[in-house]
Amino acid sequence: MNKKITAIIIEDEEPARDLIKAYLKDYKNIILISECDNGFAGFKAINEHKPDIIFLDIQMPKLSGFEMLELLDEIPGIIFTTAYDNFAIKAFDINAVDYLLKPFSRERFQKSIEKAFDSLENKKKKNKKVYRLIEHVHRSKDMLERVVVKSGSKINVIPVDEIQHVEAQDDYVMIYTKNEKYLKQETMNYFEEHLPASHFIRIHRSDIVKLDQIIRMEHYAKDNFVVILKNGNNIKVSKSRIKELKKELRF
Amino acid sequence: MFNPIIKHKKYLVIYISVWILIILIHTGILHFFYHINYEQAFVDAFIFNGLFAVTGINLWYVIRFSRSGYSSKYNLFISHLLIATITIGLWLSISFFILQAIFDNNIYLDFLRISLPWRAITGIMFYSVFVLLYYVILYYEDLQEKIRIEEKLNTLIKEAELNALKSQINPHFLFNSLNSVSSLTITNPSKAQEMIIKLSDFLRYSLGNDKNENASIEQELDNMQRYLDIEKIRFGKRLKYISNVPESCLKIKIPNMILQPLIENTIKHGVYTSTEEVVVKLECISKENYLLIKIINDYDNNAVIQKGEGIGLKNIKHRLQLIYHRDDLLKINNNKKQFEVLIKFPKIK
Repeated sequence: MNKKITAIIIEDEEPARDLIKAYLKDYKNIILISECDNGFAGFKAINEHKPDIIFLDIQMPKLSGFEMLELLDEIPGIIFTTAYDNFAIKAFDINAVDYLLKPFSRERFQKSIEKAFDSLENKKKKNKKVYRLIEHVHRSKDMLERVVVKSGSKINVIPVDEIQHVEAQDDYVMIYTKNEKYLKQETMNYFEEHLPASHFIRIHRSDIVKLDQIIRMEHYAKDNFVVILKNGNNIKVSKSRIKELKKELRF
Repeated sequence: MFNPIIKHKKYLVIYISVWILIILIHTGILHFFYHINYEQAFVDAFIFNGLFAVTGINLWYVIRFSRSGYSSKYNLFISHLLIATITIGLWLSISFFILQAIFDNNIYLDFLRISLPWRAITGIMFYSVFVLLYYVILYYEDLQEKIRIEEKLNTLIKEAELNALKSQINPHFLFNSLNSVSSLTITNPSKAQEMIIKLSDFLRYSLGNDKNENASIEQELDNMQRYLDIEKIRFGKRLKYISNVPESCLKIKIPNMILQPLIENTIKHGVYTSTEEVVVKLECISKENYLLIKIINDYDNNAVIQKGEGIGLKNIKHRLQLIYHRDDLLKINNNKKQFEVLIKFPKIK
């Protein structure tokens, strides 16, 4: 514990930040370089300062702690500070460097700091843990409500309602909204499972479309169909998915 | 609404048995006191009583529908007199003509004519018994209905209490508040103490020491204020609360804990999801016939997810419906920037 390490607090409630700051005063070898009251500021500060550890709240307006992590290329050591229920805590149980349940004691905080120092000694191990955390989020059955995408240093939060079409592009997917398109590193299967099935349908290995964007379906060769979207795009329908699509469209 | 006699098999059996008994007695009287032969006596009894048995079933519908339509007792009495006259008149004449068509025995027909006034009196008696019976049944049904509504109301109040309890136990509010207290014990102990007292008072009120159905606007607002003060400590300048409640509204009673879920919604959908300042506004306007309460909050349309919303509002609507028997008391305006909930509480005189 001789080495000096850097830390950032990302937490939307001021008293909660104050508490962490107060506890941190005990540690001369931890330098607090920034405190952020939302996920956007947190993302920016992490990219700018590359801290060793972050204290991260999960429930924050506009960009949750999880969503912010999704956007990072390089993930620092994470100590979650949360008042979340047991269900969510199970996720941290196997994944995070540590998690602190609010309210937490000075002694409990000290254990977290010790763990953080331990895990910093083995960076590989730490990264693996975080990937597992994100995987866990992937496995959950909760439907998406919004999608966060990074373009350059800008963060876009796309409400699921605005997504019109999702298209596979190698390891990425292209997400089309009315006026924009966004590239995100993600799998088609993930979107198929996490976009609400009442509004979206996968019509091809590489295409998911929003049902209300479909104007019509056309026969273009024997047993082959295309759907025509409101934005004018024509998209092929896989043979295996025609039946399901017809059912959804009451064709 | 079917006639309860037809609806329940058991009642129908009793009904028919009673009429058979009456027919038998009627036959007996005609035979033994008036020396009419068995066959004629029985047919006579069967026609008169059988017809009334059928008529009696139909009287149910007349009474059920006439019950609500009349404003005064006088009108009701006149209508019964009219119905009774028509019913008994028809019953007598139809029975008479049928019997006249069956029998051509003059002695019997003379007897039939002479006995008509007595038969009319019997008819009036039957009619009265039916009316009485049906009114008792209707009264009983009303009572059952009232008890049922009351029970439902009680369940809903319990649910509201339970929900209030749940919302305090939920990690968002309770644990984050406790975390704030924990922080304040280091940075500002006297404020920490103040917050603990507010939290305790809030929990005590919400847990329902006062189980009355109604509370004054003042009591409800005080409790909301405690809640908002606590949230204000957590969110600082992100939460701004403006209330405009004239003195004259304070003593008016409203169903308790009905506003609390609404104010919690403004925090949940407004402050929790916004990085900017969110203004929560509460207005109270006393009109001649009702009290109008407006709760308005800003929200960020892009950040708010409509999921989950609506259940709280639906419960409130349901509760208002049960208490005031109206479904037009709760109104929602949403212009994508502000969310406005309007509740009218009718003033009961």
